[in-house]
Amino acid sequence: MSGSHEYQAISRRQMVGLLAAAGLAGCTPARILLQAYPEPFKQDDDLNERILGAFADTIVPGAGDPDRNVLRVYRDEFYPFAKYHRYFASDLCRRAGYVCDTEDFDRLPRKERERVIAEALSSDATSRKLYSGAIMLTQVAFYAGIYDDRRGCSDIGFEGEYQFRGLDAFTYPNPERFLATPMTASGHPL
Amino acid sequence: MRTVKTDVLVIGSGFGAFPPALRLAQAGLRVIMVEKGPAVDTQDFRQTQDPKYITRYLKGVSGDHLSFTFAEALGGGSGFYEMVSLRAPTPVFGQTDASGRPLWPLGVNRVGLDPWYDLAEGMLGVEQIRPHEIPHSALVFSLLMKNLGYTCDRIPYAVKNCVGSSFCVTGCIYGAKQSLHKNYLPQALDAGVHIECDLAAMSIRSLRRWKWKNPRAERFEELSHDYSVRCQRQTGDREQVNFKARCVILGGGTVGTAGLLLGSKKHLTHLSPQLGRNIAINGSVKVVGLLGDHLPDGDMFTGRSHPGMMSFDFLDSHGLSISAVKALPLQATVGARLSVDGDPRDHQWWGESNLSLMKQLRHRMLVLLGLGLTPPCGVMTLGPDGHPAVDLEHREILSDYVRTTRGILESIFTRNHCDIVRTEWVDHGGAPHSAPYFSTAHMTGSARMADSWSDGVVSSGGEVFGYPGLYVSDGAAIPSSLAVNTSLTILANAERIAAGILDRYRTPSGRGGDQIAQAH
Repeated sequence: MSGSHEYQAISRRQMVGLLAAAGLAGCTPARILLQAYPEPFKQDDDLNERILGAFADTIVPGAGDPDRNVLRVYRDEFYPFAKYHRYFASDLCRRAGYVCDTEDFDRLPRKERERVIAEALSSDATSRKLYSGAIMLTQVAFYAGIYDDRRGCSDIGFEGEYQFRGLDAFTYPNPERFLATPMTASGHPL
Repeated sequence: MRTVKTDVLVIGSGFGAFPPALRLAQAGLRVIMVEKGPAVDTQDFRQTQDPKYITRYLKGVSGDHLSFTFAEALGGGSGFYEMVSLRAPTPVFGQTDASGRPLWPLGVNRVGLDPWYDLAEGMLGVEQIRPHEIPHSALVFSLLMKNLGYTCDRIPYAVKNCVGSSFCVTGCIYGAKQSLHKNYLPQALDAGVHIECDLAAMSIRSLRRWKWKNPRAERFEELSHDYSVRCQRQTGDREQVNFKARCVILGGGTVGTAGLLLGSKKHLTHLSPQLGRNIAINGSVKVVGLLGDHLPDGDMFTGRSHPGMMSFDFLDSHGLSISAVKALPLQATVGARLSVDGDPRDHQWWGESNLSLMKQLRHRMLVLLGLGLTPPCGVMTLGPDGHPAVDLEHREILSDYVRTTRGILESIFTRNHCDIVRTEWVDHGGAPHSAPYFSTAHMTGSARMADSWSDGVVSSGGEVFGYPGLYVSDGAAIPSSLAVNTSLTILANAERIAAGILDRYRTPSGRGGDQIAQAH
């Protein structure tokens, strides 16, 4: 992606009004509701995918890999963010433009991408909520493996659906050596 | 609108609802139970972290300082809880409010509840966890307590043949959890209870007027009441059904019952002003630690969701019970931002440093939970759209409580040479909550039992003051924090209230419920 794009500015008051009307402040920057972001992001799915992939990979290294099935969460209509993912991709590029002097967010090195995201998280409340929500969605999709119950997330040792390995697998042998003195005989407090 | 007449209408299908439904049906009454959520059973459960599945059954109401989680499904929370089945300790029943008035009504105490606990435990098949069933996390927790000279108890659960899959909170696909689907539900069906799911109670109307007999003495003229309950299907054609019953029992949980009564205030104009107030939150405080290298691994992803050990050492001194709890990845990412105290790296709650922290979640992180006797301080209201909102009173007291409790939990870690994981609680949009902040599934008391109308919403027998035949038998009636998990107390109290309802309507001939039946 290259070149600059014009963004329609609105007042903070207008924004607050629109947010209140939309009811989901974390995912409804006013500009999105106005469809006021550059045309390429409205039409070019590959562009959005590349930018969001770079974002995902910045939040969790490896999450941008298409095989990890994380990017799906941004388009999943179960989450309000889906309505705004195109705006979000455009906003990453816009911020990259003034933080790093290039709007090619997806071509920036990791540290530079981190700067762009950190800048958004330290800016206005709406941006903070939008970016916090996007980070949370990324982490949920990656760590919790929400699109494949069987796969889980090998990076953190989460195996997804339980793989039964015998009752001994979840306890230690001779458990008595761990046990503190009990206060009660039944386990019920008196 | 279809109209259905019955002797007894039970609203809800959880721990507070099934005992009266079962006992009154066994006594020969026509009992209809309506449940807002979908029918669900073992074969419907999934081992998943998919929020689409989880939010189908688990709902929440959230404010800046307070969040409640509850289930809307057949069996209520019993399908999704952690099976911990503890009796409330004796000090619970001695709690008083700021003016020194007892929170519990006269005669309701541990000794009085013990027979009902016995009955409830028998129904659920409660058993103390055996040493060889205790998962890694709880063994490590017990070791931490042992190292410091504290006691730690193996606690009782409603489970049989547990395989330790750790997915208790998404429903047990093995059928090991002794949820209400395994005991009360089949017995209730056998006794003739008619259950309708996907049917929400919208409002209650008293069909006859009542009057004060002596307002100063808070006595009511007990008239013969009938109630009309308007219900609506939650899916499909949104059919409305009107139930008429002489006895209506509210068992939809602390949020559901308060919401229904608050939404019915224009019809039930003399409800106590305590409705929706004094919600006890059970003082849940969590501290996350990273185990020192000298300690063995825990395991967040196997073993029971609640791993089996609890310490009551701080019960007398601080009103606290302490246990280790676990978090599947969804729980660890949705509600909290984790970072390590003293770690100089930026962006610890995301990026490379967060991944390295998350890699320690399974084996090296341990979560300590304190449950405490916090004062009833939650408030629930209904907005103009009918949706509930919650808020927290007594924030200074609660801030002190959080500080003290965190100090105790952190000291357990630090004196065992473990690091503390900084935890920032966030809402569903990722925004930090205001302090103090409590998140719980143990909320009780939104329509609490009391000795008088001015102090509570229902009598010690669960009957709504001023509305004969209208009962609350669920967590909404429990007037205080318990410092332990609430399910067994709700169930036992519901059994007690059910027995009282039967006694009330029992005729000298001995057939329970004859008085209600005669009204129809």
